[in-house]
Amino acid sequence: MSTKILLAAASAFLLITSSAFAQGFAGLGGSAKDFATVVPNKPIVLPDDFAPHPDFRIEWWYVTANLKAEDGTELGLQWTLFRQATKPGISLQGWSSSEFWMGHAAVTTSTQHLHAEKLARGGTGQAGATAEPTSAWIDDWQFASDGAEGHYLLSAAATDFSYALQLTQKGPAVRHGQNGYSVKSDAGQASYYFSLPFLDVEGTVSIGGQTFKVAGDAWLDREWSSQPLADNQRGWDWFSLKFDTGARLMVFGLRDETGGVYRSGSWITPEGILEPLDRSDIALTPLSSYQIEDRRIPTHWRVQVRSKEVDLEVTALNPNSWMNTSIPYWEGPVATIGSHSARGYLEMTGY
Amino acid sequence: MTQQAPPLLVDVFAFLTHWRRHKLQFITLVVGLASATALWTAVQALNTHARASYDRSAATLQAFDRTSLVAHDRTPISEQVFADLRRSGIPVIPLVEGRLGPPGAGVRLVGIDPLSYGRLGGASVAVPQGTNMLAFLEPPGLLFAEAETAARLSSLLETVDVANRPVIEIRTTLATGQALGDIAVVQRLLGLEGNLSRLLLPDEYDISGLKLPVPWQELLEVTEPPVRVDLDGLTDSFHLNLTAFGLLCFLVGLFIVYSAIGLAVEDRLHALRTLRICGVSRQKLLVMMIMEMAGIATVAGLVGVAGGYAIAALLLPDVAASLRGLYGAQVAGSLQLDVSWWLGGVAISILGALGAAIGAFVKISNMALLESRNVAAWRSKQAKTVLFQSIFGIFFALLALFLHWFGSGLTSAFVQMASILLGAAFLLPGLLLLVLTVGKTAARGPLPQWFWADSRQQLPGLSLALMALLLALGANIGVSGMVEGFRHTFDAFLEERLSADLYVLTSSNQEAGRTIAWATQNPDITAVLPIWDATATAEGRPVNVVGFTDHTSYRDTWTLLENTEDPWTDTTKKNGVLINEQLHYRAGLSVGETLTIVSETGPLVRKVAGIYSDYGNPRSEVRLANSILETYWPSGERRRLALHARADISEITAQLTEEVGIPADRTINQSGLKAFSRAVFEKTFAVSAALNTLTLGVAGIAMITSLLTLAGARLTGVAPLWAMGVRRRTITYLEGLKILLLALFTSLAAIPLGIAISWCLVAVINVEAFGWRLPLHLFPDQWMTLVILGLATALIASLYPLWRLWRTPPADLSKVFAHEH
Repeated sequence: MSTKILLAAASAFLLITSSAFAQGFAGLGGSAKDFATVVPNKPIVLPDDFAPHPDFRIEWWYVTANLKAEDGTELGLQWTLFRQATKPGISLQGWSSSEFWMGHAAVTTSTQHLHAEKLARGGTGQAGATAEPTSAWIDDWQFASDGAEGHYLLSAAATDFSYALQLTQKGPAVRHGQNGYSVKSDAGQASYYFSLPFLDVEGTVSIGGQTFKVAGDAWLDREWSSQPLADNQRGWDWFSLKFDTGARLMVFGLRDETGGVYRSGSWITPEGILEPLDRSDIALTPLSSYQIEDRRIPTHWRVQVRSKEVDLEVTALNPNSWMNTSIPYWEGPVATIGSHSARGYLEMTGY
Repeated sequence: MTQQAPPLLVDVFAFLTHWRRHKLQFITLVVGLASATALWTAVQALNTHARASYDRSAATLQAFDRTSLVAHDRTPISEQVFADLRRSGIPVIPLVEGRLGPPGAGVRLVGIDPLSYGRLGGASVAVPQGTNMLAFLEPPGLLFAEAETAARLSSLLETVDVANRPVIEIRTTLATGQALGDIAVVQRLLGLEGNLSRLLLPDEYDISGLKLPVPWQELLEVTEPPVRVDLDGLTDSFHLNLTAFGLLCFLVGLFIVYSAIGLAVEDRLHALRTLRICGVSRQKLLVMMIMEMAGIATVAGLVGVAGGYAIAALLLPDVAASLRGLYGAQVAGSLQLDVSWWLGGVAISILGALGAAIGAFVKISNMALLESRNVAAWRSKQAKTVLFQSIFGIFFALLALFLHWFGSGLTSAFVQMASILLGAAFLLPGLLLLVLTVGKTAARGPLPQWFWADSRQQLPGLSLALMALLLALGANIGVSGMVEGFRHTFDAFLEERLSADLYVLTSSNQEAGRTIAWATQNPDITAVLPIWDATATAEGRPVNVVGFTDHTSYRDTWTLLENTEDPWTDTTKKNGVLINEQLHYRAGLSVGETLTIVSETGPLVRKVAGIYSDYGNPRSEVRLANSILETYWPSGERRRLALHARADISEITAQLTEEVGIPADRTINQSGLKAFSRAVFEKTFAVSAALNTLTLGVAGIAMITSLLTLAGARLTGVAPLWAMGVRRRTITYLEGLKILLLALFTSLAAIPLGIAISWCLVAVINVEAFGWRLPLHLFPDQWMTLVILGLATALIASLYPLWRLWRTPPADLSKVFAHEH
């Protein structure tokens, strides 16, 4: 895809979403007038909540995977679908719909980071999601149940890479925060948030015409809100880590413009029991940065969860995992050394 | 206490006082540079503007004119198909189109989904940058149209309720009669909710791998974009010639500058020596000279760019009209004036001035400190330069000949043309001198003898202006000849190629089959001539293969450049093939030689039976019988038909639409196309005519400035005559006659030069640039007009100097003798 087209597509999506994403991710703090509000004590229902929530302004289906090819090559893989509405409620059919969809797919090795983007309008069926059967798609990129419970297919194809994977759920879905109500700021901004952190993966990944058989594990996130960020918040650093012990850790820090960070997270036992982490329990410290054009991105972190005696040094597999998409951000596979050995994903926005 | 100016300032001041005393020289210099820059800028501005405009418009059209999927019966298709195809991995782009309002007064609406263009690259063209995308997509939406269409659209939309009425925004890049909006907006306006007209396939999509999912494979078929009348080559040629014209104008302008600088330096030598004697170093003097020249050139360059823009703006409507004709629309009506243009104009002016002044600089840097000012000596030296000029002239003429025999490529062709021009210009003074010498020898009586002798003496001072006149006239004759030849050729070409009454482009081989069946049954249609198409390689290069059916209309109207005795029978019944001129030049193939065409099913060996001219076609082409195409290219395109009819064409067109379902926009009525093409070329000629006049204007300025600068010196020449009793009036007449005589000889010399330029344009540059040759036509009546124009230019230019001579007080004439010691 040429730069010009990319720019055109980017400006298209940016302009479309301008009412919501006022300044990229930071704009998630913009006004959510008329849209539904995220409230506590509203239980997440599965599989229903896999489907879109038209009363909310924004939501996403997010899969990241850490894989190993037969020759030992480490790979990371991302599949994301965003839904964005300009008006609440069930949208009109066809192109009159006020919903917009954006898909991102990426494959990362230690030397390459390939990514692609797709844009679509709601109302035509070109992109969408359903709960039963579980499915989310944009064009021929899809995450879908293969018919058997807990078994999914995940695929995407771009000009320089493609993948087709089978995902098998090995543990329960977990609800972050208070039973899925995940608070994002002191002002009370929140989202509904659940994950499938125990997914085994098998399949093939093609990079530049070369096909690898791969295996590993994946993590699915499902999150929706109308105003997930406070006005003064500018971006976040989000970690999902899968420990060799079988435990899982999700922590994030939301940075505000004064330098303050709102931290939150979840500890998930190998059995799939989720314990919300107190913000004072979490420490996220950038150790060194990587220069990508005019941005300095902290791709090397120290992550601590004192109550769990977790003290990790997190390193990116490929520090140049920049998603040069309509709304650019950093997303890539990481590995840890320190108190525990883990693999996972790091996402950094607002840099 | 008096304040003393710094020494440098004194030097500079002393240096510049020259211009205060020689205002005329200053004006000459500025006018010369400014007019050269102006014409150059005008041509460049027109070229750039036109190119940019139709690049944009072509891109806009290409965004929609692509291989598409449509319903077999061309009815709207359900929008469900879009999602189904997208989800099966076929990257289609939805499009809805239709007419709003009555035929003729309506607007063609095109609805697109900009988000689907992510992989196509058309969105940035279709939806201009800076568009408020949300306003474009969300109800009531936006509609883009150029001004005239926007006005029509807004009255058409008056009946639409306000909540659904899109906002109309003016976009100059859109074709007249066409408006662009979001797909949802256009669906609503056309009452096509839930439906699409076409699904576009991206260029990079490999159509051979296309597998439509059930149930769509039953309902859809692939259709190719409509074939446009390919006049790109002609447009390029038009621009190339404009550029050559611009260069000529600039050269003519530089002649003025060169002569002005030469004279100025001579007049200043005294002052410069004084400055040197006062201690100003040679380097400093040179630097001052260069700075001064650059300063003057900057001012002149700025004036020139402004003037150039004024000229371009005046010519733009004609250029726009001709290109609108060629491209179906859009050369924006207003010129952009970039900073880069100002800089470019100034730069070319400075370069030109410095280039013209190099000789002067060399002279200054070599000048002896003690030598008296002597303009007369300079002039006599100029006379000696006639010899050098002739040597230069012969050199350039030889260079042109050398390039004719050994040169190849476009650059060589341009150098050849420049050599012809310069050679002719440098040979002119020698030629005139010869003519005047003959005149003098033949003259009887003192006054006629004086007349010829004095003309000869005056020649060196006028020679640069005359050279400019020669170039201007030569270029005029050359370019007008080329343009007029173009018109003749094009007319004949149109007659020949558009011999059928109606051309039909069907959307598929099947539709062509249905149309042939229908036409054969129709008593009003006298002949149906299918034209099949395929592509192949021949002699290692891609060629278009065109199939035809033998018919008297071809045999009677087509002119072949070279052919066998019976080329049509050879081609249709025997082992022959017709090739176009492009292939003839590129592959060096002549009649009787063998050509191997690599077809879809294997090699096909044919003998060249004829070569046909194919103006404007950038590609190599061969013509064979349709039956051969069907055998060797089973998957060739069989979509084009030529119909000969005895009934009214509009009737046939209507029947085609009603009975076969072929929309009117897929038919081309030959008389309409001819009229349209001719109108386009008339506009093109209008531009050439305007530029011709302007070049002559510049030559006129060269004349007037030369005559004015010479006027002072003329007194010495005519004073003895006056003293001998010849009246001032007679002297004035004689002076005028001399100028007219020189102009006449120059104009006559311009005729062979013009023919040479014309030949160079049609037979060298065009062949090198586009692979086809225009026949060289000669237009003696045009030459006469130009000779008269040349004389008129000289006459107008000499009016003021002659008037001054006539009005010279006798006292001034007697003073000439007072100064003689």
